[in-house]
Amino acid sequence: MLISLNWVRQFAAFETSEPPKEIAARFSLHTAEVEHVIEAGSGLPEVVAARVVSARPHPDADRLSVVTADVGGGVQRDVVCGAPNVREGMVAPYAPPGASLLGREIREAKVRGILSQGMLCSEKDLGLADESDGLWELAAETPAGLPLTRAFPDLVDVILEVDNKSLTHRPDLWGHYGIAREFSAIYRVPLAALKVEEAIGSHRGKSAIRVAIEGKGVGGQEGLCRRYCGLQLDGVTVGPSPAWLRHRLGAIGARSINNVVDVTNYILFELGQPLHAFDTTRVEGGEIRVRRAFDSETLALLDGSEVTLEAEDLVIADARSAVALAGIMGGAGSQISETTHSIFLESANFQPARVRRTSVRIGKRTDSSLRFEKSLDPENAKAGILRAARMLLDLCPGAKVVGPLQDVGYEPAAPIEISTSAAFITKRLGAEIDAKEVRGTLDRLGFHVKGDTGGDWKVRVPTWRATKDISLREDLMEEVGRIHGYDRIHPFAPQWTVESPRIDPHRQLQRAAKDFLMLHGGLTEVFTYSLVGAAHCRSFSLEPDAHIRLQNPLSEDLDRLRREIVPIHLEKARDNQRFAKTFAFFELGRVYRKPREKLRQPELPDERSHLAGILSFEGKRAENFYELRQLVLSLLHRLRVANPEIAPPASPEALPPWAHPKVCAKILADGKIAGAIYRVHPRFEMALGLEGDVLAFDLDFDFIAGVRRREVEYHPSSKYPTVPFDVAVVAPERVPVSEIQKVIAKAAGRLLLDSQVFDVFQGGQFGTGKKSVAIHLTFGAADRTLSGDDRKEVEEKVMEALKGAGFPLR
Amino acid sequence: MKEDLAAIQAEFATALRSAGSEKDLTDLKARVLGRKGSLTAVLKELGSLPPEDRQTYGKRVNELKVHMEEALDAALRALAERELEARLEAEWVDISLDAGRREVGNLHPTTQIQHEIEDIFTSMGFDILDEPHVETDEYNFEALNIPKDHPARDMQDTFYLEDGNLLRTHTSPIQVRGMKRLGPPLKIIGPGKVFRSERTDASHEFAFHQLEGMMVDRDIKVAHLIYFMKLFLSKVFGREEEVRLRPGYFPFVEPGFELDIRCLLCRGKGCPVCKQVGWLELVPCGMVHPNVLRAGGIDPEAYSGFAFGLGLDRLVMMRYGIEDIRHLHGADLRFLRQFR
Repeated sequence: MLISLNWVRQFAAFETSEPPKEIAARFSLHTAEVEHVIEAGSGLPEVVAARVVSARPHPDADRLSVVTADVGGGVQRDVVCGAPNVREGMVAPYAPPGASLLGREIREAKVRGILSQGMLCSEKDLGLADESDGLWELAAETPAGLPLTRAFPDLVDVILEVDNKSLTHRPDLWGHYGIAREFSAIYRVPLAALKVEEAIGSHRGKSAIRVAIEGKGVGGQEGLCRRYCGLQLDGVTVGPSPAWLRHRLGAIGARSINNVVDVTNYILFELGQPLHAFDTTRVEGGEIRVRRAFDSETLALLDGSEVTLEAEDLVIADARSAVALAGIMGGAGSQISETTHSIFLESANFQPARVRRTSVRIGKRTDSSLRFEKSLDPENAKAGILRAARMLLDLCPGAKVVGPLQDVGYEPAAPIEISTSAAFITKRLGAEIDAKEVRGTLDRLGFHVKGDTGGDWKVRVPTWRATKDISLREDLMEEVGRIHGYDRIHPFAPQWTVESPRIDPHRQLQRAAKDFLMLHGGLTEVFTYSLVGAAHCRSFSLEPDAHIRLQNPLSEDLDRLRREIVPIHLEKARDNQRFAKTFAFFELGRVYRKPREKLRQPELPDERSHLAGILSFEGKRAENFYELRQLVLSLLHRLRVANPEIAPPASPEALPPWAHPKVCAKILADGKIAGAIYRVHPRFEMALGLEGDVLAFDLDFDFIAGVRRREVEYHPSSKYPTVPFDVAVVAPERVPVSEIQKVIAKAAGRLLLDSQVFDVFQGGQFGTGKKSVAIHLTFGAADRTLSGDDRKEVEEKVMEALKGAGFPLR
Repeated sequence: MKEDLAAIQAEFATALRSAGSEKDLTDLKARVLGRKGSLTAVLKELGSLPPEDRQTYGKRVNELKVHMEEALDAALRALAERELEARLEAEWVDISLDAGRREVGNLHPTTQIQHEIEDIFTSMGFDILDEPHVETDEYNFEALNIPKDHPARDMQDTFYLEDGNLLRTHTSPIQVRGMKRLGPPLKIIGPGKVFRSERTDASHEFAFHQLEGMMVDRDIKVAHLIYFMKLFLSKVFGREEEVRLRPGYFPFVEPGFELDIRCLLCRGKGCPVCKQVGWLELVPCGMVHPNVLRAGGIDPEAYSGFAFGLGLDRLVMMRYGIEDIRHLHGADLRFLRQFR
């Protein structure tokens, strides 16, 4: 919202030598964030009034005139001018060469062969209006040479752009009067009382329109319409607004439309109270009915659009149909036009939630709806309409009020009183502020404090803060704290009992796992989106409908929660392969499945952390898989998982479709499935355009965190010598080496201390489909040196068992 | 006999010079000093000499023997030395090569800063909580004093799920879950991913990371909040940064503040990064609203507290001057590998 400090000073005449930026910073520190400061009219001081002495057509251009102008001090200047309304005797603003308007410097220049010494200006040229159809004609008696800013001091102004979000809770700050109240508290100057003329006009006659609030839940304190003020004015002449009004609205970015609309907008920006003016003659049947819309009722709005309403919406209707969408926008059918002579002003108070819901649904956020949804002070409905009427009477000499003000449905809320004390406020702030000072601040902000200054207080909240904003002593603490200035509070540490934080084992494991993969495995941590689209799911043979969907996705690529991480990683691997083939990354991220029964929070989805990642290599080698296998097993050892194991998957269905069925394994922890490792399936490799050797791992981290831990058990090292023994056997190619080791372990029993594979060789000399496996065994006993007989016995047992199992010795 | 000795010595010297291996030396030793060696033969003949000659001649032969033995030893040592030298030379490696194994990896820059902040707060006795991404309307809004139709819901564009739940728009639900789980007094932080239904561009991302913090105890004051914020920022930035606290509106705190930090780039002069204001909005914070304490099962008459929320991604971007927030979720290793 844009705030004009000239307008503010009309109510709170604060004086300061601070530059505009400082004023803005002060407002930010005490009230609400100022995002920008605009110094309006900075180029205007050089512009003066000039009287047109003569105007003659340009010899070489049809639309241009050559004007001789008296610019004051007996000086005359020739100016080439394109304005259609230029004529002898008129007074208009003149910008001399060297003046800068809207960042553009005015220079002496020849225009079609004739020297133009400066420029005669329209309001648009001066930055005071968006559109102008000619020179700005100043009053005929304006002396030539009078600086424009002397004739119109308001043109030099400081405009503050306040962040709307920081006003969300402050309905009172959506108009200049409320902002002025803040300045009065910040700069400690008095706030001018708002003049409201109760007995406006003579109230002669009878209004042609009768107001009624109809329907269940429409009226009343909590109803959809809490107050409706209506007033008829006849004899109105719709026409342009005077310069001061145009400029004032222009300064805060509002376009001037005509005097009637400008007055309603003026009150909107002054009090924050939205008003609407109907053409009395276009309200059918002499009735204004505030009622719910009929289902599917349509209404053509001022902005040219048509909306279809629902039975929950609130409308202003005449005897026949809806004429305005309550609190949001007027209808096209009843709007005023140039020929309007009788208007019916509306100034009401509507339920915030209703206005908000309707405006969100139909997608129209207006200056009016933005204010109503903040919970406006219903007192302003009446103040606003009376001030508007006064302005219209002043602007249209022929206008008169017809009939009394109709004020329907208002049941004032009981005033809010808060029990507190200066002691509570200063204690909670942790600042030493004098009780008198605390009370003074509340006074300046319009609170009524009852009770001894040093004792317990009853604080009455003013109506403009009582609609939602303030109801607790904490709210009052904020008022005092912010006006005092939070920067003046001296920070200090609370006293608390020293205790060590509760260690979260899950989080410790997360950090240990990340550190391990980064340091030991050389993997880089990545983040990926939790959202995927149906196309992504389908390309990985995942059922799109199994995913939890968003009601309001940003795009169809991101419209559901992921159930798997690895497919996303495969896409990321493809992207990264454009720059390198050898890399590795991981992510500890979540996957989301539809809720299952008997979970901790049955209403929420089954959200699990997965530790997943990719290893990408230049070429396909079995060793790549071995590296991944070792990495994952080492990780589980590092996390002290009980019995980490690698095993073949139970069935092909146990694997994700993008896993290579022959280069894959499940990971077991304490005998249960904890995840899988695999090479990407050639079909998916091709579809994705992956190159080299891409392998993935995927671990259910929540399961791993919860699984039984391995305890460290200490055993003294054996004092007795150990005996090495190497065996080499021939085995079928597809028999896992671990099977051979199992045979050995069973045969050797407790005397086997270690078993290390040191050579696996596949080749013709053992026959096709065969391989040679050499294993280095270590025998020993904890309580003795093995005798020659012991050795012989165990070696023979091992060899016998191997032969018996179909693994002949080489 | 004298002549014999001279000849033996000359022959030994020649052979020693030409000996190129350990075997040459042992052969030479056998030839001269061995059982059938030339000098051994001379020694054997000593007994046949007259006694006066035997003494002087014997002395010379013995001296020659000692000399030869020493010379042979020295030659052997020199040879071993040369062989070692040759071996060392042969074992040269190219130190510019490596084993081709992966270099050390690295954590995501957001994780790195998250860990730093976690360490600061855990050292002060704060617990770390981890909570669901999918939240109920109750925890994300209602319990945080943001009822339905409250305009504050505009501040947070929300992704709603088909089941009526939503993706949490901030880490603040952690406050309520934390209070319910731990009870007062408590000191917690809760980092994590949050979601906003926003179109992405260089400064907007629909998924980002926040870190929530909360302290509830008897008689917690605004002054305490400022203390913790200043302390923590000085640790994160490694120096005392100038900060300011101004009113900010968040329904779950009362009063609410925006904590600004002097623009790290222009130091307050005004630049595009701080939109010419000289300050950067960094930490929204405030005193926990009594309604929120109540929603967490804590009596606001007996306890008070403060809470704050930090944009971790924003902090990372400020620290490294990252120009586009979308890099953080891009999984582009060229970007991520820079934060080793």
